Amino acid sequence: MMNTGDWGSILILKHRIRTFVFIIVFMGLGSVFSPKSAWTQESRLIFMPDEPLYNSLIGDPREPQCAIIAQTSQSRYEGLIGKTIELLQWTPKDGPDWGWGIEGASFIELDSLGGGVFPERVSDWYLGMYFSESEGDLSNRLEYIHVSSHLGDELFDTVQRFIYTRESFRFTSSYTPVDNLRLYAGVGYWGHMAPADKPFFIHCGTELYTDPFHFIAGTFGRGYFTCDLKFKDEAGGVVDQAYQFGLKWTWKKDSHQAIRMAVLYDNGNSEYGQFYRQQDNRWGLGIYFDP
Amino acid sequence: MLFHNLVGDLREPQTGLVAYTTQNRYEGEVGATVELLRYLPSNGFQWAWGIFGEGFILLDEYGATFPMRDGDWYAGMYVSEKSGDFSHRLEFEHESSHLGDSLQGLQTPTFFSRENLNFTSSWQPNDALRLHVGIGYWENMAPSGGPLFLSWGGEVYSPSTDILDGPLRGFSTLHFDWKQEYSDVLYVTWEAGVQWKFKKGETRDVRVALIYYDGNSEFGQFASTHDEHWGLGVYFDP
Repeated sequence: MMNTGDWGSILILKHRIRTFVFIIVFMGLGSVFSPKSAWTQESRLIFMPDEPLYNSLIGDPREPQCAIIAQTSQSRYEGLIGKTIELLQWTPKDGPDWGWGIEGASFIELDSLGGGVFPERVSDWYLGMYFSESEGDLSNRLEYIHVSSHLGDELFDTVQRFIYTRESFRFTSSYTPVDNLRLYAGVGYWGHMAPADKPFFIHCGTELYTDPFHFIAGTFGRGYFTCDLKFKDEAGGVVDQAYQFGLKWTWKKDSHQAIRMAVLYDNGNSEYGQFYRQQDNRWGLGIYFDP
Repeated sequence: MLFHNLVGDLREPQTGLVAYTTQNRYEGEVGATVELLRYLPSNGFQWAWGIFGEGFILLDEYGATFPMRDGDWYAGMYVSEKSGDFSHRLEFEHESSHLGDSLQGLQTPTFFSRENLNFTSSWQPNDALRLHVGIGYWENMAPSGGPLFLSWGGEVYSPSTDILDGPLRGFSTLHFDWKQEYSDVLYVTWEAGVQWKFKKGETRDVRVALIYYDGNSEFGQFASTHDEHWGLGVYFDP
C-alpha cells in the first residue's frame, strides 16, 4: 500500500522526467530533423564546431566569457565564467551559413576587505539559446536568454533581496567590412520581467583593432578598442556604456583563442540585477580568456 | 586538454544542467578550462599548464520559480603531464561558497573560503577504461577542519555505434571521495548514460546521464548536511 508521500515522490519523479525529456528532445531537434540531403559534398552539417559562426561581442560585459576584473575605482573584483556551445552549424551549398547553440554564463561581484577576504555582493546567471546566420561581412544572431540575479550573502544583514528573473529575446546584426572594424546593433524585448518594468532595449557598439604585430616568443598582439552601448527603457530610462582599451594576444595571427588584457570603463546603471536601479560608474583592469 | 576531465567527478569544470529526481531541485554549472601552454619534448613526456574556473548553482523549484539555495565558485591553476597510458595533474584550487538569497533571514551564511593543492593520476589502458586516484590538502580552510582528502574512481565505456555519422556509446562512472573533515562519510557518485560525439577522436561531446549521489552536500554552505539524491543530467563537454 503506497502512502501519500510515495505518490508525492512519484509525481515529482514524473515531473522531472517530463522536464528532462523536454530538454533533451528540444536539444536534439536540430539533429533528428536535419534533412539528410544536407549531408552532401557541397553542404556540411557540423556538430559542435571549433568556433561559433557569430563571434562574441567582446565589448559587451554580459556576453559569455571568462575573465577576472579588478575594479580600480573601488575595492571590488568581478569573476566571469561563460560558455557558448555551438551545437550545430550548417553550411549549405548556396546562401548563408547557419548556427544553433546554447550559452551559459555566471557573473560574480566581490568586495575586497583585505586579508584575502572577498565576500560576495551579487551573482548573476544567464542561460540561453541562439540561432545565428552569417554571409560575407554580415552576421546576425537571435537569442532567447534567461537571467536571474541573486544578492550575495555578504549583504544579507544590510540589503533586502528581491526576486530578479527575466527572459528576453534579442536580435543583433553585426557588420565586419574589414579585419580592423566591427559594428553591431540590435534590439531586445524582455518577455517576462520580475520585477515588472519597461521591456524594450536597444544595443549597439563597435570593435576596432590594430593590425597584428609580433609579440613575445613568436606570438602575435593586436591593440583593440570597444564601445558598447545599451539603451534600456527600464529604471526610468538608462544608457549603459562600456568601453575597453587593451591588447589581444594570440598564438597565431588568425587564432580565435586569445588572452586579452584591457582597461575598462563602465558608466550607467549596474549590470547586476540586484542593483539595476543604481548608478555604477567605474574603472577596471580585466584579463579575459577567449576560448 | 592533456589531462582529460574526470567526467564522474561532479566538481570538475563542466557545463551542464542536472534535475534532481528525488527532490524539487536543479543544479546548473558553467565551467571552463583554458590550457595556456603545452610542451611536447622528444622524450615522449608531454606537459601542459592552464587555468580553470567554474560556477555551480543550486536551485529549489516552486512552480515556475527557482529560488537559489547556494552558489559555489572554483578557480585555479594546474600543471599536467602525460606519457603513454598515464596522465597526471597537479592543481591549486580556490573554492568559495555563498548562501543563496532565497534563504536570507532563514539561515545564517557561513564564511566558506578555501585553497587546496591536489594531485591526481589517471591510467587509461584503452578507450573503454580509465582509472584514477588522487590526494589533496587544504592549505587554508574556513571553516577549519581536517585538511586531507582522497579521491578514486573509474570510467567505463561501451563499444560505440554510429548515429548520424557520430559515435554514440554508453558510459558509467564511479567516483569516491574521502575527506578528513567528515572522516566518517564516504562520498559516492555514480553516473550511467550515453555520450555522443560528432566524429571519432573528437573530445567535444554531449552526455546524458542518470546520476546517484550519496555523502554530505558538495555545496559548501551545506557541507555538513547529508545529501542523497538521484538526478538526470545533460553535459556539454568542451
